[in-house]
Amino acid sequence: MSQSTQPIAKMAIPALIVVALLFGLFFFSLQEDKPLVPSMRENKPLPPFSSKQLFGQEVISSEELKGDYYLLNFWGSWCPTCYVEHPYLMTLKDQGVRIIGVNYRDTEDKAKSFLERMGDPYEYSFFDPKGKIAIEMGITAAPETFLISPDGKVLFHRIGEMNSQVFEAAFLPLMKSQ
Amino acid sequence: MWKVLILVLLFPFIALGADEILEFDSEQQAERYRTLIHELRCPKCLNQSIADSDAGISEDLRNIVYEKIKAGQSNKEIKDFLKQRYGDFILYNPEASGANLILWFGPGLCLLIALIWLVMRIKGNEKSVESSLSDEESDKLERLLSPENKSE
Repeated sequence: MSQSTQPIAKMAIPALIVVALLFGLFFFSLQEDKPLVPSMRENKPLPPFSSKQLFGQEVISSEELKGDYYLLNFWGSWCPTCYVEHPYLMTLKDQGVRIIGVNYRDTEDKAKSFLERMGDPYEYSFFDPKGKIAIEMGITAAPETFLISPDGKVLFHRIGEMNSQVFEAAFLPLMKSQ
Repeated sequence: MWKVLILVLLFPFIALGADEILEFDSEQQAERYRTLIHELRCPKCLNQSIADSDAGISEDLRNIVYEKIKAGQSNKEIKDFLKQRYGDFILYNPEASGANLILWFGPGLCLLIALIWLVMRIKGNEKSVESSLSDEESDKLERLLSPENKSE
């Protein structure tokens, strides 16, 4: 090898290592199914919030979500993915999973029509037409689902559709391990 | 259009959004609102502020910002409130603290390290050139560079 090509060869090896490292970093970052927005509510107590109950005048509070595992599901009749996940929520209800709804940015008429057509998996739903509860919980859109422990702590935050794969991989182990 | 003009004349301190006409107590409040909604990032969108986004969550967040400004909260209080719920993601200009220090000072630090490395390498090369000459070669070089030699 001539003297003039030696410095280039010396530089090439570190440069290749850097490129390989960057490639690896990008590859693994893209592989990981990580939500864009961090879930700030996970592993923290469920914040206090209250609202009128959907289809009623009674005021309900997040304080009531204690003593058992609950799924807190944000939904709306305007949300296409809510139609996709709804049959699975009905299955979970039949299996004895307790689900509380938060009807998000919706109207009572449209919400009623949705539940009449698709079935009602919820013990009851908070009514959140202005998204106040949604912001309190750090929601980005619907559907999103939280797992609440018997002592009122948020164990998990799912952004997107709930299905059997997600429930069995993320929710069920937490419900069994506690 | 006429309705908007009449509103502007009747209420001087208003901010106009896509579908929103908001009333403020002062022009300073309206300006704070306009600035803040451009500094906050839509959590549903990839790269839009809540001012530019039509997503439902952005509308809700604009309403929250409006309510809190009207309630007399400072920009820091409003940003802290949203950071508690959406993390640093919600801020377009991440604060220079914690892990964000890497973002702020990382590029400068890398540049500094590269410059130091370059300077050291150049100096090293100079030394190796100097030291690579034998005594005989150095004498020859001096003779060649001497003024007597030049005049010949």
